[in-house]
Amino acid sequence: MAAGPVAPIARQNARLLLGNPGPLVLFFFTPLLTMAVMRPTFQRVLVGQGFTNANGAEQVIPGFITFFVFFWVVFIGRNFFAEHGWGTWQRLQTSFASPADIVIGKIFPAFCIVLLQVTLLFAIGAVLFDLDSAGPVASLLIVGVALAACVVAFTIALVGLVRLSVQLDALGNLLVMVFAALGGALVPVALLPAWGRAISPAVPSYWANKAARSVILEGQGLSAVWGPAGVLALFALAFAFLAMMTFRVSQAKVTAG
Amino acid sequence: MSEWLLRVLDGPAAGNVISLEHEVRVGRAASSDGRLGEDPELSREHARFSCDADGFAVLEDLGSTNGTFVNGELVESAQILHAGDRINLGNTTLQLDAPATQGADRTVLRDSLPAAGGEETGRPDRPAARPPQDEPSGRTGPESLSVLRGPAHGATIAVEGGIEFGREAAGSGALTGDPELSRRHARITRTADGALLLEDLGSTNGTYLNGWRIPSPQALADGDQIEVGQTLLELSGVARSAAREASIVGSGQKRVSAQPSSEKTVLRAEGVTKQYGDRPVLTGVDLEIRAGEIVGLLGPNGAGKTTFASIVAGLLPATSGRVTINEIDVRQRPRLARRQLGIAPQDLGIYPTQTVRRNLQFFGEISGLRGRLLRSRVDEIGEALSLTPLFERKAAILSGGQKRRLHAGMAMLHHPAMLILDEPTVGADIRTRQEILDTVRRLADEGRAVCYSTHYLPEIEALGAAVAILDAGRIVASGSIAELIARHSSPAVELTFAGEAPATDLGVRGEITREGSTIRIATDDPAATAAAVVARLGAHAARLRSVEIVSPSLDSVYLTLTERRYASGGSLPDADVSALPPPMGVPAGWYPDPAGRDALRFWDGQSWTDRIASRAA
Ligand SMILES: Nc1ncnc2c1ncn2[C@@H]1O[C@H](COP(=O)(O)OP(=O)(O)O)[C@@H](O)[C@H]1O
Ligand SMILES: [Mg+2]
Repeated sequence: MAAGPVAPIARQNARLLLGNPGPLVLFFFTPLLTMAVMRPTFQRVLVGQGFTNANGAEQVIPGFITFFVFFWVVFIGRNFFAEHGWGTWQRLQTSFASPADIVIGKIFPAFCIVLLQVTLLFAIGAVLFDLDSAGPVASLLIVGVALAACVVAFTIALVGLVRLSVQLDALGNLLVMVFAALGGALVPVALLPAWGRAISPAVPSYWANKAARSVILEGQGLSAVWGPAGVLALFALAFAFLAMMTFRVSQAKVTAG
Repeated sequence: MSEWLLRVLDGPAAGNVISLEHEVRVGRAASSDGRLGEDPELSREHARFSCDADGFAVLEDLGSTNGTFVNGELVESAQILHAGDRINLGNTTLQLDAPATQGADRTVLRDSLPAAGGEETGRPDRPAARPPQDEPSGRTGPESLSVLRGPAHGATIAVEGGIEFGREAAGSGALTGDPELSRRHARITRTADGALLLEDLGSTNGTYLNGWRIPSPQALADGDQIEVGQTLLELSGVARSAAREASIVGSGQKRVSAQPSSEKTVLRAEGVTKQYGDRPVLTGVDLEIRAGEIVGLLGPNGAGKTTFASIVAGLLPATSGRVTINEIDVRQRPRLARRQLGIAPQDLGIYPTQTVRRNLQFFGEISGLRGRLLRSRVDEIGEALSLTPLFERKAAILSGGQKRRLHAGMAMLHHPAMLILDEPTVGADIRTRQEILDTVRRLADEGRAVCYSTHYLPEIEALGAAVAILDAGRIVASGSIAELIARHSSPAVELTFAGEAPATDLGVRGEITREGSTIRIATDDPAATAAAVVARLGAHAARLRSVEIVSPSLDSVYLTLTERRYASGGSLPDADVSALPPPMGVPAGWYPDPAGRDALRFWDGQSWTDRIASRAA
């Protein structure tokens, strides 16, 4: 393993993903700003729901994390298109690396980076917005792991499905909004119209927000987290299965426009 | 019946001895005798050793993932072994010892095969009885080492009975105080049969043989390069021993070469065809490239050069036919095949956001290079292709030629057995072209097989490469430049006129071609022909602009061979010749028409002419 190609490919992809300041702004500054702006509104909502001590952070921190985390889909997906454009994807295929090495070398750093972003953003948000959790927030870490797996598997499935970069952008960004709106990331699920509430369990963010709510607002522990984390893991598996059906290392990806 | 022994030199089970009294299966999870420990590169049951009826040891691969190698060659079918053979499986090295040799530690005795009748040749515990002065015939000696690099640069060291290298070694073995030597670094010893063995003595930085760090003692051959510390040595004066030459056993049994011989076929393509949809692009390509050989794959745009390279590299499946690299089928065992391969595709493949050094390092790392060897290879390529001053620069801001050099260099770092360069000098400047050609030449001289595709004939001439001309989807001719010229071309006279060439009967024998304003007459006696023809021109002589005697060259061969398709057409509309891009730094000759027509145009060394050979209707 030490001499195998996976480790260098993983390191290279970590460099490529973190190689410019774009992700810092998109994945830290923007969500924190949104949390700050929306917190007072959600404080009123939560107080109205009977959580009289809430300050709004209980909703905005997990909510906007599950919103912004899906922007990674387009961001990581573009890295695949970039490699095709640079000609390096073809080159990797002629190297010692197998198709599995290439894909694992891409997935692994992406997963680590997404998990790190989610964890850091939660920690920074909690400090900045004075989060007062009723239950043990550490138990939400397994939700973070399942969510990151979900995001990465979904990315590979989507990249496998599309051939043009514009398709990736359009589909990816559309789904970010759908997931956020239906999953309780923008507004608590309880405030959705009846039809929205009915279909919200069909998006992964719903389960992440549900787990966060049970711990932070309702004061429950690990026992309330396993269920939603398990469903997220099932989503990840389903996306991984879709990825295996759609993703072909040899398929050409075209950056248009 | 003699009893062969396998010694485990290397790997988790090093030190074990396996007797071949019975059949033995070796592997990670083989039964007791053949269990070789937790080597992750081993298959569970990797290979089988047995003795045949004549007493020969026989080795067979059991469909292992990473293959089984004898003296560096992949085992494809059951293979007869010789005493001293080294067998590599995963990270494990085994050495086969004949019963007679067991006292002689670490020696390689290639001529100690048991007699074909399976006679008793000795008992396992008896030391070698061979007197040391029993030298095999054919050894010329004296062997010597030339110091190519390092503090002792320029010196020549006699090998004689053997030599030890190290800071504390006596005499020339200290290599004039090479600071990177360990106190006792490596030694060369002579075995009983006169062969030379190189052995690392537990040095800090390792001992390298032809670029590979040696894990165990290795037999040496003429031309081997040995690296210890900062010093690079080259061995000369070693004759091929008679014992090695004679190592062909029995009928129908495979020869085991003791050293990678320079005639070994690395690339073998047989009947390769490719269709895109129902459009045939390759119609049956047969090509062989041997170690140390450069083959220039020559053909106009669209001939299928890139398609062929992609099939070899495993990027595309062939419609039919077979390609092997070092006997490994590129379709059946793609990973193993790619380990023998380095390819610089036609399209650039570099990371623009990374530095030149990072690009090189990354591709070195995925080719399995690490640490010191990686650094030295990156430096070596940087030096060879003048990239060193650009190491810290982002690839995005390199010039076109610099990008090309980086792109080509990334394919060479791991010194692949088979190097494929697909039009590596497209859009490159003179210097880039020269450096790439020099580096390719050097790699070939070190024993790599190279496939160099191009449509610039002069590059093939500069490389001194063999030529394979790809036309209409198959190889229409191949051989050395001299062979092709002798076979397919003769001198010619070319007459150029103002306006259309006259259709007069010229009254000479020989093949006459009219191309627009030019008449070309192939003849063995161009001087006499020129005189005779000019005399017969009559009134047309006034329009004669030049008479040229064309000596045979690769480009005339190229034209001859593709004549059926590039025959005299003549009436293409004129292009604005002065506006065409010049092919930088290439000598006069025929090249694909830069005006974009499906034709060849003549470049006279300074500018494009309006001489065109067009595709016949
Ligand atoms: N993916 C493809 N689909 C269809 N035709 C192709 C494809 N790739 C190459 N071709 C055609 O195959 C022929 C050979 O192309 P190529 O191998 O690139 O030639 P060369 O490298 O010698 O210029 C060309 O006519 C080209 O148009
Ligand atoms: Mg080409």
